[in-house]
Amino acid sequence: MEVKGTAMAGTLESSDAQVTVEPGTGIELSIESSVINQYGKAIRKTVLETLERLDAKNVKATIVDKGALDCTLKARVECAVYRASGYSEDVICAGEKLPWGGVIQ
Amino acid sequence: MSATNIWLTGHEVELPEMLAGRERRAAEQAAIRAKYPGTLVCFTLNIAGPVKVFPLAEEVFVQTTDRIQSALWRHSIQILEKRVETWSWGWEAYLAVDGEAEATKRILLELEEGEAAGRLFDIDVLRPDGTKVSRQDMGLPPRPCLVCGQESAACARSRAHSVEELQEKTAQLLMESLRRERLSSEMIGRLCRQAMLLEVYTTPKPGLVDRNNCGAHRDMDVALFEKSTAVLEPFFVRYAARGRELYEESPEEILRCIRPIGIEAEEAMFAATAGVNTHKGMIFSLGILATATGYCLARAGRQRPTLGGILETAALIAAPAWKRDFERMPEEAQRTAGERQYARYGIGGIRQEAAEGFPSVRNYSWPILSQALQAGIDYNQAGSLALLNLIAHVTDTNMIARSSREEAARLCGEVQKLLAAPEGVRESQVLALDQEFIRRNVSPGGCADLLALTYYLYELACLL
Repeated sequence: MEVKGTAMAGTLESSDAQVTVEPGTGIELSIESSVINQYGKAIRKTVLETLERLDAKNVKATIVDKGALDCTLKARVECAVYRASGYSEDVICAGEKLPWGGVIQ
Repeated sequence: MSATNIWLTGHEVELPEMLAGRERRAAEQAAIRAKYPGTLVCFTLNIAGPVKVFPLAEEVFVQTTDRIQSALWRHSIQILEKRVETWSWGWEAYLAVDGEAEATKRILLELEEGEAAGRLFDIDVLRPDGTKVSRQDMGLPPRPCLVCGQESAACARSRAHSVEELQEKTAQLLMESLRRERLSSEMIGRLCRQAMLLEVYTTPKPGLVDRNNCGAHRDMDVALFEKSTAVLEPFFVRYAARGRELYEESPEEILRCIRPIGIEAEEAMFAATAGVNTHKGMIFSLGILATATGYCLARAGRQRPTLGGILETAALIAAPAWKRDFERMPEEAQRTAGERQYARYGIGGIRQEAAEGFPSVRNYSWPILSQALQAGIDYNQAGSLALLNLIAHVTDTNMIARSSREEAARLCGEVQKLLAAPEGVRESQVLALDQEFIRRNVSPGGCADLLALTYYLYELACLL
């Protein structure tokens, strides 16, 4: 998937993440998180895997994480990339069914 | 009292729906800030797990929204605009105010910190630039986890606690909070709605509409019951409110005052179901219980009434519908199955039940349901067993109406035999019995109503 413009998904609420993507050279990640010490690596891994699965190669992604679960983070990255690739909002926000976990907002 | 799953039954939100909801919330905040560039208060409840909308949460949301407004008012902060929205992922209240953001947050923090249930309140205060005044800005530590008291963000990320554990704790906090507050007529209406829904969802039930099949009915299903329940909720609110207003009357005088509500409720039900009788019996019996609840709450003042007191009052309210009406009823006026059978066999049906304070509930279903729920058994199993015990002991006029007295007695005997069987084989036997009831076109609708009353009384007991 080709990131053609700048797009954002998610919010700054607790248990959420705000993901901004824009065209870049290779993959550039910037991560800010309220749980960076414990989960910085895990967040990085989830974001990279999701970008790889979407075949997004030249992306600059900025993540402001507020303690999102992996499934939330994954959904937000997907959504931002889809939006930046010009898909309509409806396609994205219907989304695939994701499993429930012990979410505390 | 362990009652998690009688409360947390309802629409299960999927993650994408919730994520879309958060974005919608952010957009709504931006829209309100564009109109009122000052401070914005945004209140939501923090409910763990997939069911976000249920009676306990709704009542606490409504009460807390009121308390936020009073707190602002006491501090002379004006509300410029108020929006309250209901979504599948929960309720949202937006208040644009003229106070300074930090000062507003400090006032509202008292609600978050002032009681145990405050842990479930998310009262965000946004500055004119859209940033949130954080707890850290106010010199407070991050929010503690609901279960273990450690930092909640870490527990949430690692999924340290099961959803069930979090839900149990959430339900307990909500119930504790409501036990301290005035029990509103709206809440009694919500309890009635929940009780009727739990009854229809309880599966399997011989011959009755449940999640497996439509039982011996051709004209109704779960969806029709849901529709009818939604239409009837406001009438149960009115019953409770009327009971409160009439607290100075003697209970024997109340029935004639609430009859018009019942007549209107029946019309609304038939209009919603295109003429199908889904809840006529419920309107009578649950209506009397809701009225008795309102009456006893008003008489108890700052105290709480007892369940026994509510049942005694219900008996006094219902008495005129039993002796006075039945004994004087000429044959041509007999319209319901209950009326005809009283004339023919002297069976009192639901009117006698109500006039005696629901002895079948007290003796046959309440002990089983309350013990099982308290032992942590899910409502489905607990309710199913309580219903079988009712069918085994109660002369159900609905069963007789659709078969004969002899046939109904024989089926009662079958259910008694089944109850004597060991637990392991019981479940398959209930499914077989369901098929037999369907084949013989028999439905124990009277017992189903008694089960709904039992659910109502159990919910009420949790809040008294």
